[in-house]
Amino acid sequence: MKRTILLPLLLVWGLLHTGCIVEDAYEQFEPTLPGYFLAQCAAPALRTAMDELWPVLAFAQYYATDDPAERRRIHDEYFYRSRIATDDGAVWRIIDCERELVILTEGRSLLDEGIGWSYYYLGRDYDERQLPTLTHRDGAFALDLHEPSKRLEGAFTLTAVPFRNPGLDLSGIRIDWSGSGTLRADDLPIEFSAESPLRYESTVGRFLSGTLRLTVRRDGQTDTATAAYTDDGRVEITFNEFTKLWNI
Amino acid sequence: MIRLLLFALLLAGAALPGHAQQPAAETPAAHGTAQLPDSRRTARMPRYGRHEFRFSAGIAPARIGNYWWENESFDLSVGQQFDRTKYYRGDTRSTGAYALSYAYRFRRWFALSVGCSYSGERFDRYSNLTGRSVRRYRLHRFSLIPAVRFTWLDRPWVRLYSSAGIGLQLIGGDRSLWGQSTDQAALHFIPLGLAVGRSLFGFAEFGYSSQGCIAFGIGYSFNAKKRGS
Repeated sequence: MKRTILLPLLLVWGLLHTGCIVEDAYEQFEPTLPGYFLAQCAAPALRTAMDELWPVLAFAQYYATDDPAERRRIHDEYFYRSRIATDDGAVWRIIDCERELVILTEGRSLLDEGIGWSYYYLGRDYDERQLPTLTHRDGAFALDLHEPSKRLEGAFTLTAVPFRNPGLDLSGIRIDWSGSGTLRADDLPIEFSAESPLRYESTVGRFLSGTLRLTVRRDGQTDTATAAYTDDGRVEITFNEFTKLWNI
Repeated sequence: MIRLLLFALLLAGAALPGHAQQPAAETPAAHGTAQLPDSRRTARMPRYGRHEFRFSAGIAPARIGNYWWENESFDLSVGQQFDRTKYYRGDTRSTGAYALSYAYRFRRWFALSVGCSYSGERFDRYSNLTGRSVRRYRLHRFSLIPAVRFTWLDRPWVRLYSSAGIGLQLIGGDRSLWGQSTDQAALHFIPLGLAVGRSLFGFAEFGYSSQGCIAFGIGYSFNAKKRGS
């Protein structure tokens, strides 16, 4: 009788202390994930800033020449699907199906030393007192960037070189930039700076090299990650002494 | 699988000693009933006693609605999503369901029962910086289920039955973190139950129940002592 009662009790006791897995964990130890998250927040905004900047740099070549044939060549190379128009020679518009770029030249060439152009895209919420401004200085360009709704602000130094992508058979602008600024992703301000110059090519629309440092300060804690871009579209994230290659 | 094997062993271990305790000859006196002629009334009486206690352990306790989940990034701000990347969730483990029930058998084929059961779940939250557990979250479910049972095969050693009921499930623990944060109905639907043994018996149930969709256990049937006997 005692064995009859004890045996089941022992078995039940043993079973109470075992816990079968009901749901496998869908997450795992990933120490670079916070850094990757920051890179995912920052990369699209910076990429967009470069996407919107390179037509201004390409147009600077167009504006600098008076030769109609050369202007036609530049138009066909960079603005084949766009129309370039001006009313007074100071305000120029580059219009295509998706967007309209307005460049305030004040009637002077950006390739002249010390000259600055402001620009904006129609339909977006810019602060009219703080438009993005590109200034030619000491053989390079200084960009004072103010994105709509103050989402992205920063000061950069950049060089721009026209090039031709043989694989895609496209002409584009290659931009090497360094500098720092702040990106506001909802309630998370991310400070960014270029540890090494980032290279952007307009024909592929992404960064191909360079290292970005990303810092957040939250609840009294500071977290810093670095994102090193590779030419195959991936980024090496370093966070908290761990490093991993991610797709981005 | 191991748990099922353990309870198969439990079933065998409970049934064999139960057989040894029963008298070899079945007489109405052995079941605590009065000396009655072999009549319809005797045939309708429960074979091994009106009162029955059962204890069972089951796996996959049923829940109404979706399974538990942790509030992930659905309603989080970007800053909260960033904070969330510093942690990851481990496996969710369950104790299974353990139930204790009492039944009153009006007839061999019909009984009413009430059962209470417990099942628990837990998971750990780990740090993505150190890989160590930083907190354990638990959920407890207590169910109280009245049910009816119909025995459709009643032999001296084997009984097959079906039962159904609906009751109440109370939830405790870290409720806010799980999808099921409110108390709810508890279901018990067993299309196939198998009992093997006599007064002391083992049983197995298969169906959809807060006490486990597959459950094994032991039970004991008896008659209350008459006053003055």
